[in-house]
Formats: sequence, C-alpha cells, structure tokens
Amino acid sequence: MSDEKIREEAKKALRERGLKCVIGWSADGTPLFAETEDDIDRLSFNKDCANNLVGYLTQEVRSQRGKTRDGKEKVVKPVGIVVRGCDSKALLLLLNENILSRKDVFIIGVPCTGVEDKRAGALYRKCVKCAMRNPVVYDVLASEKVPEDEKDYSEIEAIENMSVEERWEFWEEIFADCVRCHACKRSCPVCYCDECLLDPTDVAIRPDTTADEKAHRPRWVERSVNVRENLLYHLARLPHLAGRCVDCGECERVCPQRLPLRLLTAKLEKDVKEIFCYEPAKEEGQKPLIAMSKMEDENEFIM
Amino acid sequence: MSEENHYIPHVAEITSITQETTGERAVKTFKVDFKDANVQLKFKPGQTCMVSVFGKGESMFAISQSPTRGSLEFSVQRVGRVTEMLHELEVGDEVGIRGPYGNGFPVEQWKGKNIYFIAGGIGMAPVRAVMNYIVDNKEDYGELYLIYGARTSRDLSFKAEIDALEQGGAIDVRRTIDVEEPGWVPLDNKNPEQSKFDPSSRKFTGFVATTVSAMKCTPENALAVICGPPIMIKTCIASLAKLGWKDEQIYTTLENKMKCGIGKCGRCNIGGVYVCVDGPVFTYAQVKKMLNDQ
Amino acid sequence: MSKYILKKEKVVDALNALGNANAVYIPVKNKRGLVEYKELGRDAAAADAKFDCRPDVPPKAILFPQTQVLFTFKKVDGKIEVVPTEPDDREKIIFGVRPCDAIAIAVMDKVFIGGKFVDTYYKARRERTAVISIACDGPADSTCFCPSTGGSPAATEGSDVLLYDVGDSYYVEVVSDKGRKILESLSASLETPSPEQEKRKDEIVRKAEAAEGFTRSITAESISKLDSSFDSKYWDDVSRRCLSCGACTYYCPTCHCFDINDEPGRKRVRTWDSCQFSNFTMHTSSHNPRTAKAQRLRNRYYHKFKYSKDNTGRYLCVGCGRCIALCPAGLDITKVISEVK
Repeated sequence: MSDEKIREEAKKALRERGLKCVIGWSADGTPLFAETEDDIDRLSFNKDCANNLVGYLTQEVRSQRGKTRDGKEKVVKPVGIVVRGCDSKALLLLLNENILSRKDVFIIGVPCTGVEDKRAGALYRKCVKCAMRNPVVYDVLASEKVPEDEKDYSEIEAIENMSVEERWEFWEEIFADCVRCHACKRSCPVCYCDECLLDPTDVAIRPDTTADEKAHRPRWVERSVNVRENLLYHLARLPHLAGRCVDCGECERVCPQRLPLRLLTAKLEKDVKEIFCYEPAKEEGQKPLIAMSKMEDENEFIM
Repeated sequence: MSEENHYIPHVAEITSITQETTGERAVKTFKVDFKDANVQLKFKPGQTCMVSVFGKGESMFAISQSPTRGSLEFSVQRVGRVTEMLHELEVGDEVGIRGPYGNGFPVEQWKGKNIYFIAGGIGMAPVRAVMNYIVDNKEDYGELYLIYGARTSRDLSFKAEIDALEQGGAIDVRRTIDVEEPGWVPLDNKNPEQSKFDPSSRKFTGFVATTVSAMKCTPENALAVICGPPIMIKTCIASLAKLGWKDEQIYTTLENKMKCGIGKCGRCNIGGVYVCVDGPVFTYAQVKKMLNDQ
Repeated sequence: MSKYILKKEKVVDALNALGNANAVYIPVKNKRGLVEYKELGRDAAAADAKFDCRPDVPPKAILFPQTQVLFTFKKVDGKIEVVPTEPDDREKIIFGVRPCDAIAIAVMDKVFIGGKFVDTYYKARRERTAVISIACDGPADSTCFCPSTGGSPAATEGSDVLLYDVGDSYYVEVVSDKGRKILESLSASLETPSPEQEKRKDEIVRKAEAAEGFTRSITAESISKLDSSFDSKYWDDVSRRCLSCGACTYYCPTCHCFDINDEPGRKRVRTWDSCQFSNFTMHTSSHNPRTAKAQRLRNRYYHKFKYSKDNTGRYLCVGCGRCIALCPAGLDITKVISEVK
C-alpha cells in the first residue's frame, strides 16, 4: 500500500525535480539513500522503520553547499526524504530555523501508527500514545491520515511530584550509567552545530585557531565519565533544546544504555508550553522561541 | 624497562629557555634536567619524548638536541594547548618527561655518506638533533649540507648555533625564506631548475623545494633528511626525484602523529603501520608503501 | 583436564563462597533491561545472576575502566610530586563470561601486555583476574558470528574455567591452573559428571564445532577483499548513515583506543576514546588525517580485519555482534565486509 505510493512519488520527484537522492528506510528498517530508481524500489515503511532520518537530510543538503572556484554559490540539488509525524516536526523546526530551505527538500509524509523496538518486541514507549502520528509538513502523503492521541505527560508528572531527594536519587542512577558515546547528540535532528561545547571530542580547530584560543578555551565537560560530568552534559544540552526539541525520541531510541532520555525532553517540552505558551514546529514560518519575548513571560528567575 | 609504568612522567626542571623566534607562532628551546639524579635518559637523534605541563596535559616532541651535547632539549612552537602552556613557563619551573619513544635516525647505517639536511619551520627541531650528532662525528661521514627554510628571516631558529657551524666549515648552509627581504637572492618558484644559483650565496627567497632544485643536490653516495610541513616534504621529495634521487635515500619523521607513544591508543596508525612503535623515522620508500591514510 | 558438575541450585552458594575472597563480577539485568556485569555484594546479589544470554555490555571495563586516573600530583614546598594511582590489587573473578568475551580478553592481553611496552594498570588488574566462562549452546544472539573470527561458542581461550549448561547443572571444565585453584575452593559443591551429562556437553561442543545455527558470518574470502578495497567508493556510500557516535567502539570487547587528559583536581586521566569521533586523529596543527566519516569507518574495519591480522596474526574482532545490535544506524559489520567491493 504505502510502499508503492512512496516509490511512485519518489521516482516521480527524482525525475522531475532532479533530486540528489531520496532518504528513506529499506524493508529491514535501516536507513537507505536511494539515488536511482532501482534503489527507490527498495524503499519501504513498516514497523521496523524506527530511525529519524532528518539528521541525514541536513547532512545531504549541507554537503552540497559552498562556493565554486569562481566564488559563486554552488547549486544545491534538492533532497527527498520520507518522514513520519514526529520526524516531520523536526524537519519543520529546521525549516523555521532556516537551516534547511523548503526548496531544498522534497518531503514524502507517512502517517504512522507506531514503530517497534526489535529487541523488546514491542512498540517504542514514545509510540504507545502519540500526539504526532501525521506529518505536519510534506509535499505528498503516502497514505491516509491516522487518529492521534493526546500528549501524555503522566510520567513527567510522576517525577515532578517526587521530593528533591527522590528526584536526585532517580536521576543520579540514570546519569551514572551514561557512557557518553554521544549517540543521543549525534542522532538528534535539531543538534546541527559544527562543534559542541558539551562534547570534548568535538572541538572545531581550524588552521588559524591560535594557540591562545586552544589553550584557554573552557572545557565545560571533562572527558572523565562520572555522574558529575554526565549530568552536566545532559542537563546543559537541554536549555539549548528549549523550544526546539520536538520530543521525537530519537535520543532515547539510540541510547545503547537505554537511558530514559525522553523524560528530559518531554519535561522540557511541557515546561516550554506551560511557561512560554510555545510549541515548537507548530506551523510553517513560526519564529523560534528564543527570538520571541513577551511581556507576560515569567521572569522571576531573572531577579 | 618493560616493567616501568610508562604513563608516569619524571619530573624535570627547566634550566634554560632560549627564545628562538617571536610572534604568534614563536619558538622556544627548553633545556631540562631531571630532579632525580638516578633518572637518565638514553636517546638517539630522532627520538621523541612526551612532555607534560602538570595540570594542563602532555604532548609529544622530538628531542631537538644531539645526545652528544649532554643536554635534553625540546624546541617548541606555540601552536596548541600544551605548547602555549609550555611557553608560559620560566626557568626553574617543572615539567614532566616520559620516553624516549620511536626508532630514531639510523645514523650507523649512514656512515661514509654525504648528507643533505632539509628543514622547514619547526621541522628544524629533529633535524638539529641529528645534524649536530653527525657534525660531532664528522670523521665518519662525507660532505654535509643544510637547507633550512622559514617564512621570514625572523622565523629561523638556532641562528647563532647554525652560524657557528657554518663559519667553522662543518657544514654548507643555505637559508631560504618565503617573502623577499633585502639581501636575500630571489629564486623562481615556478621554474626552480632555471633559477640562477650562485654557489656563493647563502640566503635565498623561495620555497625550500626550489632551493633544493636550484642547488642541484647530487644523489651520488648521499642521503637526505627532510622535516617540515607536509606540503614542504612533498615538494622537496618531488625536487629530489627530478634530480635522480631514489626513495630509499630520503628520510623523514612523522612524529606529529604520535599520541601515547607506546603503541596502544590507536591514533598514529597509517594503515597497519604504527608511527610510534614502527617509526617515526621512515624512508620515503617506506612511506610510499603505506596506505593513503595520512 | 578435570571435569566436574555444578548443580544450578548450588550456583548462588558457590558465587557467594567465591565472593568471600574475591571481587566477583556477574552479569545481571538492570532496571532498564540491560544485562551488564556488576560486582557481587556491592551492586548485585548472586540470585540475580543472568547466565542465559549474551550480556549487552562486555566485561571490558573490569580490566580497562572507561575512566582511569593514571596519577595525581601535588606541590610540596613548591615542587611537584607525582603520585601514581595504586594498582587495583583485589583478586577478581568474572563469572559467566561468554567465550567471545573471554577470547577478547586474550586479544586485549596482547595489546596491553604483549607488546614492547607493558601497560601497568591493565596488567595489575589482569594478573589478579580469573575468567569463568559459559559456553553458548548455539548462537546466543541473532547478531553473533564468532565462528567467522576464529572463535567458537565453546572456545576455551581466555577462560580459566569453562561451564557448559547441561540442563539442571553446569558441566565444569578446568582450563588453567588458575581455574583449578578456584575450583579447589569450591570442591564441596562439585560432583562427578554422569555419562548423560558428558553426552550433553559433547553435543554442545559438536554444535559449536559445526557452527550450527549461525545466520551471520564473514568469510575469509570477503576479508581478503580488504587488500584491494581501501580506495573503494563503497566506504563513502556505507558511511553516509554512520552518526560518528561511539556506540560500536565503546561496546566492542576488543576496542581499546584511549585519550589522556589532565583534569581539574591535579590528575591525569585516561578515558576510552573512539576512532569514530571526528577529532580522534586531529593534530595540534589542525591537520586531520581522517576527517571524513568514510575514512574513520574504513579505519575501524581495516584495523579489525586487516591491520591487526597482518601485525599480530589475529583479528581484532571476536564476533560478539554487539556493534550490530547497538548501532543506531543499523550498520552491520558482517554485511559491510561482505559487500565491500
């Protein structure tokens, strides 16, 4: 059903729009970069297609950018992508932040009823109750829209109701187990910085970076892996995601330690909604939260 | 030796600092002495040591003085975190030293040969160690040449020492700089072979590789030691090849890839070759066989 | 070789008995369903031991901790004194290791103890560690491929004792003197195998030798393609989906790359590093020999299947399959080596 539609639309766009490739899933759920019609015949969408592919979209578009030898902007071939509802939210955020341009992408939306964690043999937690099953930005939809659920914050509320001590104990245990492989950050569709302050393995050094700069650049997070450094890494990431994270759950999905990272991102999303009345990637052309300031915003934390 | 804890540096005191060059990428030569009189470092020219600035980190440097001169020296350009911290130290401050690492130059095999030392920028540091060693054993070797290039005349290190060698007749020295200055004879970088080369001139403007070509270094019974930025090494090798040099006659050192020094941390490999335990000194013939992974 | 039987009902007592004189590490399932090695009495109870699967996390960190303080230093009268970290000298037993992970320990021994330079910290731990393994009855996981790398579900290399699950008991095979001594301390719990138990054990060995049940493999022929595929465009294609995270390397029982840094608190720390991180090979000058994902991914596979084989005679991969199970992008090492052209 939707597989045929995905392939048909992908082929059409490949021909008519001169796409560089179409990023989708193969039947076994692994990411596929389809460059030819033969490749496209291997595109599929099913319960095993768990990866959020939007990070790859940024990679494929950005890798084409730059200047030619005579100083002209290089031509960027549009890139096709297959997205579920949650993925499309992340994609919309990137469009709203001008990281991607609408003309650079061709979007095939697939309404989704949830994908499965193969190892658990069950739906991912994020998919059990999902408020973003239908793509919010797309050129074509590969199947009929499906009913969505109300956003479920019950787990977050349970943590909010803990005492400070209980909460500390709860999170300390989780952060103690992080190995800082950085899969959460590297798979995050909205983490697109060239370098990351919180990742000591990812510092931008150019030929003209001075010794002084290298020597005195602060190391916010040390390489030692322990509760303190891990906590700093995870918690300092959050404010950078405020009003940006769409709670797609990719960080939690990729975590080899199975840390419940969505407890952080869903809480962030809830707070942003409650404090700033803001929902990221709600509509096209929406201003970023950080670019908006309202008189009625809570400001008691300032003084 | 194998039972030693290789990660623990010996504490050494800086006994003298020579400001070789100034500017953003200044070079200083540090002479160090171990605090513990029992610690003795036996090293060969071309070997390296890990130098620590305690609390800041450690970094690998070629030893820049010959073992025949009786002191342990490192010539350090200010480029990164640890080198910046080293440059902030003063005489009497303490550093950590572990090593020596690597194979060093095969100076025994070189006996009886004419040797061309070809250095660019901070690449002069390891070259100085092996050059001084050879000079100190001059009777075992043939004619000696040094071709030493830097960006400007102010960026040439070891000035007094090299001048003294030259005046003493130990070695034929040619200096080159990139940007023209009064008194420096210009060479044509585009047509190096056509450049007029006055054998009595000692100072040229042009790339090191240009000087190599213009000077027409002869490969007969000779070998070359090339150290410097990758592009300089590449172009000098090309110049030598044109003059009939064989890959086996050309030596270089790749110590800038080294990290742990003891073959474990997994960084310095070029293909299956571990620079820190198999090198860092290789002939160009060996480098050529390596995978294109540099 | 000496053979015994250890009834499963006596395993808890045996573990606790060993725990009296040793730090004993056993695989246990954590709250989130991940099976990892924990220290008995400290983080785990003997009754929680989980011996029926390949642990999700290899025992690597017991011998080669992710974070290791190499030394601290202090200033005495303005002069620096280096204080090396005391080596961990507790006697240790890792119990319930899978044969692939035991072989991995033998491989790591070669890296850290076997070369020209001996790693003091690894050696101190390793010398005081005994490995008690459990043979796999066929592949322990669908991602396993140990026979392709020279291993076997019933391999003894790297183990001091090998157990075989023969139903209600473990058939106990002594592999080394170290193992013999440990079993002496357990003699009260050990019995003699029956012919039926011998037969069951032989069946496990037969299945292991025939590599029965494995769905993944890498052929020697595939590996030999690496001799000529260094410059293949395949690496660009396959690395496109790599995220450059460290999951494959951190969970690999043989990956051992590390970084050394000075950190606040006057200490020098060695931490695991990953060849997949973009700055892994960055020089001070900013020159980086492996800037592209393709170069880094290629280096990992070449290191495992070519460089290590050429230099030491063996692969730097034991076929445990964890990198396949944990790769967020679905990269499969067996597929990559088979597909490379």
